[in-house]
Amino acid sequence: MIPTIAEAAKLIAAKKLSPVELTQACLSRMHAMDDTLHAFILPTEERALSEARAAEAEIMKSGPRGPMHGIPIGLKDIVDTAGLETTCQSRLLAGNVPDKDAMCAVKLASAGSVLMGKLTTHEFADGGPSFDLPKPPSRNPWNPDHFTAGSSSGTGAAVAAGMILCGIGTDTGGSIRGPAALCGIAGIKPTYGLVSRAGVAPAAFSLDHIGPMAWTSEDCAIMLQALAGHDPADPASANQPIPDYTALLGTGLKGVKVGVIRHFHETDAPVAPATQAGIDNAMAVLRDLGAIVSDVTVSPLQDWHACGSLISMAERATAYEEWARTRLSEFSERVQRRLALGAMVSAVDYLQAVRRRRELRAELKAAMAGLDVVITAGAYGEAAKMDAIPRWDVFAAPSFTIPFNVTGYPAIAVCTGFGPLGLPVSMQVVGKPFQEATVFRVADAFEKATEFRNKRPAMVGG
Amino acid sequence: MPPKLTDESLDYLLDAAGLVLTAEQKADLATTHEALTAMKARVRKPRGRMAEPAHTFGYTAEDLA
Repeated sequence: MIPTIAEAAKLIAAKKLSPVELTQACLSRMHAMDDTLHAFILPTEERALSEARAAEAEIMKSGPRGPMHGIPIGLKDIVDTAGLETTCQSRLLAGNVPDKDAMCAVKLASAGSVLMGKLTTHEFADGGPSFDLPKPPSRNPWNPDHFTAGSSSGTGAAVAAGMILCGIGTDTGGSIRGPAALCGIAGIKPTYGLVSRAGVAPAAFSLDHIGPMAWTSEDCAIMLQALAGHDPADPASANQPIPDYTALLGTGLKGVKVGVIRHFHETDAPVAPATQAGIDNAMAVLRDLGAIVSDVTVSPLQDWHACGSLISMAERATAYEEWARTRLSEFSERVQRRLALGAMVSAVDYLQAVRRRRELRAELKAAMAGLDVVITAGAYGEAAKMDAIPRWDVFAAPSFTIPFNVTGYPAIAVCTGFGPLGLPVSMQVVGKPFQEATVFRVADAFEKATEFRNKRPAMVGG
Repeated sequence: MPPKLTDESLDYLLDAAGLVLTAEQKADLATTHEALTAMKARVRKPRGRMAEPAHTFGYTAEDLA
């Protein structure tokens, strides 16, 4: 059995589980499955065992620093790591060894976590899957013929397969929540600015978020506690008090007000029947737990998608302009084409999108007045096959996740069941700014009232 | 229907961006024109000249000292 962070932390604190044993178990799953899943770009086995032994010694002597002490983690390979190659899955950064850790890596190390390695990503967190890069794309543990979504693809696969208990994802339009949805785990994009982006490769400055991915929303709360906080090195870092993100877990949902943006997933962009059934069932579960559920209407999903996509295209082209001009052919074919989209977005197009963003943010704020959270789909359905992802996916269908990059509101993807192919389906729970504790309260209550957290992919032992 | 994206206008945009694409890449990029134009239309509303974008300055204590 693969423990959650919450379970492992209790056992470690009681000295019933050694971080070394826990790390060795994760390593043995990595050895057994990663040739198939390609979740790791750079495993750090010796470092992991060394850190686990150090954690064990410290815990035996003076007890754990906190619940992350001795927990095996992974970092998406767009996160700088001092002394460890950080390639962003790109030929352009082959051999790049940063001299400084990203702030999120510093914080997780300070919490005593054990680094298992760097995790597969889409190139510079864009596009994917790409088959023309030095390392292959990650595959879905529920069925390796199927996609993980991205760009935090390795993190999604590694958590679902129990190679790590949690990992860092980044999310510009859904890159935490998409892989969480398709890999059947939990992943939260926190409020914009809550977790420092310092030392993490940019995708689109005003949409980029760093956040936890783990088996449960409770574990995401534990991990977020270690990550959140003001950092002057990130120009968009929020200077907000950091609450106890686990404080509301287990307090029930009596009187909690839940809005459902039903038109997003029913009429604007209808989801697969299994996703619809999962959301309908989730609403029934939340009602049974005492929540008050009502429908919410905002602008069509396509408006949010257009706004976020135009901003993303322009900001991404800005961030990578120098390399696009001088080394374009070194990017994957998919990213070359996506970067070229920036040439077709004018400054006026961009600023019209930013003006629209202000309106959409005000709209969501008004819609959520009197509510605690809103809910919509996390993805269309089960994961598609690896070779069925359209090159221009940005134009194929609107994203359910990007509205909350546009607004910066916290949003978690959680598993709501399984579809006819046996792959996971999901929903998102979205909170008000800096109200992550409420998001975790609802997501955790749903997970604990259902059985979906008891099932792992068959290749892990079910 | 959006205005047609001619080869010349696409070349101009790519030149201005400093990008060198293959003929096949350019042809593929041109296929996005209609969908991209629809996106651009979606963010435009009759909002008048006073509507500001979402940017705000975040002054820190150090800025104000």
